[in-house]
Amino acid sequence: MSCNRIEQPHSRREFLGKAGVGFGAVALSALTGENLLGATKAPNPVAAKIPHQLGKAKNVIWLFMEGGPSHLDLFDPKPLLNKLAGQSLPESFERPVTAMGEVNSPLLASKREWAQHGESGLWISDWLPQHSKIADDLCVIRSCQSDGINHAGGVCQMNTGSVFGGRPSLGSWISYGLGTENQSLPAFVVIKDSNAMVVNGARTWGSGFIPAVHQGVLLENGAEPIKNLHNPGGVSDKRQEQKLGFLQQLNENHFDSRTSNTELEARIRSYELAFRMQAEAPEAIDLESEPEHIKKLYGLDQKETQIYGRQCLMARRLVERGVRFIQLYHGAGSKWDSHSKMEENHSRLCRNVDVPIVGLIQDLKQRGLLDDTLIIWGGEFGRTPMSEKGDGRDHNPTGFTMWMAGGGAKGGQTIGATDELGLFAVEDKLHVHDIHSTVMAMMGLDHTEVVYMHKGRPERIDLNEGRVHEPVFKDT
Amino acid sequence: MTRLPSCLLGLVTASIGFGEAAGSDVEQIQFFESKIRPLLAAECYDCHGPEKSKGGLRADHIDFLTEGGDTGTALIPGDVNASALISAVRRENPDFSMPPKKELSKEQVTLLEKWVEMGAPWPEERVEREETDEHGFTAKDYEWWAAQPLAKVSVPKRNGEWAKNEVDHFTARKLSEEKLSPAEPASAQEMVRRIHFDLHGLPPTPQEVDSFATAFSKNPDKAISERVNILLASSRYGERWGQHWLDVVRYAESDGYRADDYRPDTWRYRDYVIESFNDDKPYNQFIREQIAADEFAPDDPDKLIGTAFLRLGIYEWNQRNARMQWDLILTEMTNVTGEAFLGLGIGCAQCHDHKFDPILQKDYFALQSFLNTTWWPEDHPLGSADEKAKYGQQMAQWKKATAPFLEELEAMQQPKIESSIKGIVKQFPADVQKIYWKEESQRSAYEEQLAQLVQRQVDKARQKIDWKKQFEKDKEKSTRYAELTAEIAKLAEKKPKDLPLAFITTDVKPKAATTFFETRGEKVAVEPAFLTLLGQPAPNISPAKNTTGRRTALANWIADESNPFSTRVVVNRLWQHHFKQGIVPTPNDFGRLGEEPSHPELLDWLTRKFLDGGWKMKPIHRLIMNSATYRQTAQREPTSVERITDPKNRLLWRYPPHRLDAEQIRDAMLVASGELKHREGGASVDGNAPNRSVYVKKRRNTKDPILGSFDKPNGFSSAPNRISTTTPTQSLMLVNGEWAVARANAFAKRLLSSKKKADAELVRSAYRLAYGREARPEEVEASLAFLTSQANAVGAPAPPEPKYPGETGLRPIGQVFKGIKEPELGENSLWLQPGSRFERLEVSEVEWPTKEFTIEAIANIDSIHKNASVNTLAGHWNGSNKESGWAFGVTSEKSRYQPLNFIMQLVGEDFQHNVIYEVVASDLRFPKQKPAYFAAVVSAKPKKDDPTKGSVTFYLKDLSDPKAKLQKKIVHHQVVGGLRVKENIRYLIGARDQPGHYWDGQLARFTVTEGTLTESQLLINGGEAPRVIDFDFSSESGEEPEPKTAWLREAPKSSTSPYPPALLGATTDFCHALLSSNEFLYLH
Repeated sequence: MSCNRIEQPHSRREFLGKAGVGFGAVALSALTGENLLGATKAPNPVAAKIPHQLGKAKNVIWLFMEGGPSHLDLFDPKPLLNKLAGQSLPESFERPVTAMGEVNSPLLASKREWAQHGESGLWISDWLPQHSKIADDLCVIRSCQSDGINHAGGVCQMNTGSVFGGRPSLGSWISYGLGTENQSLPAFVVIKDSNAMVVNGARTWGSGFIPAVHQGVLLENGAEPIKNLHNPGGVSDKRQEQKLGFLQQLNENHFDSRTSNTELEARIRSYELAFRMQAEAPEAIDLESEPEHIKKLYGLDQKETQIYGRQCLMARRLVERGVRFIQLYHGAGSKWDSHSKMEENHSRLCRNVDVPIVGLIQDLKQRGLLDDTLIIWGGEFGRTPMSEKGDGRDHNPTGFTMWMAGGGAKGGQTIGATDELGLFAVEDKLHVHDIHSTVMAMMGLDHTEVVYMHKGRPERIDLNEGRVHEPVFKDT
Repeated sequence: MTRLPSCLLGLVTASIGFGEAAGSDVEQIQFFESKIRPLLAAECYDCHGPEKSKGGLRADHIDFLTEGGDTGTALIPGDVNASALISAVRRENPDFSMPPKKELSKEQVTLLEKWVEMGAPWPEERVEREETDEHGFTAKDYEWWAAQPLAKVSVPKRNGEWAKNEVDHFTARKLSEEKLSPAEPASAQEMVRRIHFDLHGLPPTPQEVDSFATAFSKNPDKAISERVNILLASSRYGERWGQHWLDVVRYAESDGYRADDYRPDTWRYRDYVIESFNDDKPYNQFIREQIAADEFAPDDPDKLIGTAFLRLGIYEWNQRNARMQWDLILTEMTNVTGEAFLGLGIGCAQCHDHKFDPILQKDYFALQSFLNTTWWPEDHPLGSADEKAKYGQQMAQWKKATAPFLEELEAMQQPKIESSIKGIVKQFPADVQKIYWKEESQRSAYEEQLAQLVQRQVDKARQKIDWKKQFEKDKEKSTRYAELTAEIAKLAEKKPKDLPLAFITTDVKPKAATTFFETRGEKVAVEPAFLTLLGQPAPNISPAKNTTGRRTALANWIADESNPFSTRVVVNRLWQHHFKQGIVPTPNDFGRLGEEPSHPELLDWLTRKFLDGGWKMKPIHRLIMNSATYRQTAQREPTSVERITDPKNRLLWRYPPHRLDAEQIRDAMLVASGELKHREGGASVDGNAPNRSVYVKKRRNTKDPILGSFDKPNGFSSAPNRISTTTPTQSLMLVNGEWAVARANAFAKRLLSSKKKADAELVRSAYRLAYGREARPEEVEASLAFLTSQANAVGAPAPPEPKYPGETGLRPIGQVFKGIKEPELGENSLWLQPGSRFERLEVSEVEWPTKEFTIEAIANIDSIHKNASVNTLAGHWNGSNKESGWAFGVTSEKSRYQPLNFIMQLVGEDFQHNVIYEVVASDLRFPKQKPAYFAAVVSAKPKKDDPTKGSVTFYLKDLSDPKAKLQKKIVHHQVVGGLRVKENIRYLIGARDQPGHYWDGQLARFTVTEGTLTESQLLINGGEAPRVIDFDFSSESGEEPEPKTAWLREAPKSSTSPYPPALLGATTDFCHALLSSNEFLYLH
């Protein structure tokens, strides 16, 4: 059977010999930014690997609108919905199972003003006024489908392919397939907009049954963005360095007569990595050094936009430093979930993200990073044309919108369609498995080849069901 | 894998002589063998061969090619242009180009064209196509090793001294067949650590190491055998080996979906497992209890709890798609049963006949049908028949006694309950609603299961009703409600203590649900049956009183001696945990996707031994652990021969080195630090408790940080083996994490005990405790050198480092408070950062009002304490509830006043001049991470109309929200005097005069006014008043942000520790390094 693609670390003894006395020297060279691994082969299990084919994207930024934004009020206008508002779903429509049982509630009109934008004439509602500037960059997929009717299953599937917990998330698969380009930062980083937890907790970006090195690392708010990043309380750098030096000495002596054990070596290395992370991570996310006009571009000067703006700006800094996969949760804890008062809720949330997202895309573009960076926007599902509690909408996983930009996505186009009321996807349906497979392809990975053997079965991101939808990134 | 000889695999590069090839048959065959077969093998077989046949096509025989695949024939001999194969390699159609990613060279294409043109000769006339029977099985399928009955194996004979028991004869034969030799025996020190970690998951104590070494030097065999017996007899054994089983059955204690509700009764199953191991319960009995105890021992709680196995899976409390939900639950139950007991990854067969194993889709559903009538009752008490009877009796008495009140109460509640039920039910699909409203007797078993899924949600909603609130609006009802509940409460003593709820599984009805399986659009009912391949008759099922009896039949089949899977699977698991790799390295998959056994005869021999010994595990442990195979050293480097012949050490030419697993690491740290507290079962504990890891709460969505980091499985599916990862975040946790530092600190104190310095004896003791061995002289020397230099580095503890270099304690006002026009703010805000140099600001030389005063502030809070500390923005108090003082702040996460509650703490005198402490809580929530105005108008003197009471008037406004209103709340308290604070207590901003309770966030304006301001006098209303303090932090220097203030940077008070800081610090660091080191974390 084929083996899992985990690279065994190569020997680094020669390197240590050159470095001299173990940790002190290693740490010093880390601090001076010298590439520690220059002289030797990269023994890191997530060191960059060669993609299966030439794909354009190197990084992903996933703008996750948690809770389910309404496609019917943002990217998928339905004139018939407003005509039939107040009536029940016509008999001709199949009745889906909905989360709150609102199948027979009256249809709710969309109050949005719609216009076509950019040269491509992409439809975007007035809830996202700034998005007109990036209309020609967006590839809007109106025919997404998922199986999760609830947030737990929906967020789980959108991340891992299954409504059932325990599988690796897309970011983990991509880290596994491609490795990282930065040895001092995690390959997969997650940032959220508040202290509220994303549905299902940390397993949402977990690595399931593949090694933990590929799991997402949550950047926390506040002074310690990565858990345990700072010296223990009251411990000076000197003391820490001496302690780690002694630890390294213990490990070196132990390793001396056991050099065939690559795990021991990997652990020696992981302490070095930890030390470098401690030195470099705070700088990577410190936005203070950014010039004012850039901060403004992301909306850091406005209260409504500064939180997501900071996340977006941080994402750009991480992309610049080679972080492979970044997930930016907006509305952590299902804030987009609008079972009632959607008008209020969505107005506010859209204002929060409109400027930052547009700023991010414009900034990536002006830096020449947009071609390398795939931006994904969407929630775990959309919302129903049927109303709930008079002024809200229920969950709709059977037809909803996501968009992609950059990373080779063909901008200014609309893919697929929902029915006349936006309830079911009817044309070019893209199930979550297909979305994952397509993202993998855009990253240069063949989703059928990125396989991990688990309990005797060859496991893939798409549960063996996805297909790549090429029109997203190829001329047709 | 079948491979062609390598000489045939080379790429074709030579130019082609067409003339020669087109000639005779012999020439044609030569051409085929030298050019075509290698080409097809190299370029096509990977996807179109015996292993894979993409698109239904194989290219390894001409018959397959002419027959074609899903899209029709691939080759027409003699017709180049009509052959799809040629079109594909020519890449004529972009959607159908082969090979997909790699274009063949022109020469290769020409060769293929030529070959087709000559009629596609192929020497083997007939394809070796395997004959299949009516089930689609080939002869090879019937030869599947794992499905064979146990072979009658005789122990191989082997001469020589090495072997200690039969196990060794098997392993020695394999080694010698491969010309490998076993490693030297391990030393006493290596051996004792291995045995203890293996059987108990704990390191041996230094005394245990010494006594073993003494015994070992006299008679190693006896020493090992005795120590193994001692450890097997201890209940620590079940705690270790029970954990292995808990992994296999995906044990966890929470729901695993969004809410991830904790399941408080699950731990009884954990204890059941531990006890079963400790008692060496026969495994066949263990199987039966977990699958069907409710059918044969419904009144024996000690057995019944075993059926929790079937309900350990995840559950989503608010899923309205009841049919899908039940399907998921049943599928999960089926898969875990197949994996845990049978070692079969049958999940694949759910959707199609298993591609690699002779398991039919029909088999999958037949197996599922044994389980398809199950249900997870919510209301079964767990107790013996007597206990239940007694409980029932007492309960009846209590009900009788409370009846007059209870009945009236229930009548009052009825309307709301009914509307609540309706509200929940109507969220389900219409067909499920119909089922729910049916009479129970009219529901089929399947319908009952769906109805019960609805019922769970109905019950949950009912529990959530706040009755007090319900009746609040109706004064009459509200009074009556209070009276009735009070009456019932009076009789509380008579109410029997609830029996624990049984977290068990049983059948929903005695008449089975029907299992359907869909094949080609047809729905076929499936009856319980065993794997078709085994050709066994259908089971005889006799319904029990309340159940179908199906699971008993299943359990009996699994627990039967003749079951080839279950018997080998469990013995393989035993071997696996002793040697870190099973004889079959894929313990949950004995199928063809798994790996084959390295020692098939040994596996069968051991299994026979296991069965003959009454399915008991302890004899097998003894057999394995007393073998010479087990006694080899791990400390031996592989030779080049071993690297090539057996790099994975499957033949065991040494004992496998390995990292300790999550529980072993956490437990070993607690042992080294001297903190571990043993217990015998019970409810699960927090990860910070000093108990063994098997007792730590296991929530699916929130891993324990230590255990999770070291790869404890997440509990979503059966985890037959642990992976061992190495990540930088793990290392950060070890070197910086609070938990690890605390263990190092405790370890240091244990070592120091009454010592005044860290000497050689301390170092040696540390090595014994951490590594279970003596320190070598050079290690002692190096350790002492480190301790000395580290003591210098520790010195007097350095002031906390600034989090960001260059920080001054002030931040531009716009960072947090931008856009706030009223009240007026200065240019900067004060950044209070706990743990930094800017932690507490002392204010001096101000006259403090003591009876009535008003504090106003504009601030934000970045984070609140995780414990119950108060986030104090200002305080004049040392935290004692006997000494006068006050503090102004908001509550933290674990506060019993709920987090972010804006409060005043007062210590003063009540009207009788007793000193009292009172928390005056506003119940106004401070908006986290948002700027807010908040004020407290404090009156600590008797009110005019009530001399026993004083008051605090609270005001709060969220300044980030332009629409927010000023909230106001008046709260009365009993402090009416004596608020005169002692002189030695400091007035602080960002804290009170006591460690901890810091504010983490920014402060833009801070005022104190004597007297009680009226609402219009407040800053927020533009009011004027003579303020005693009015800080707006416009100063240039963050070191002294306002006149008469200074950051409090006292030298830390001499700690209560009896050790000088340098000594304790250096020893802690020394211990910390030992506990983080590879020698501690690995058995190598």
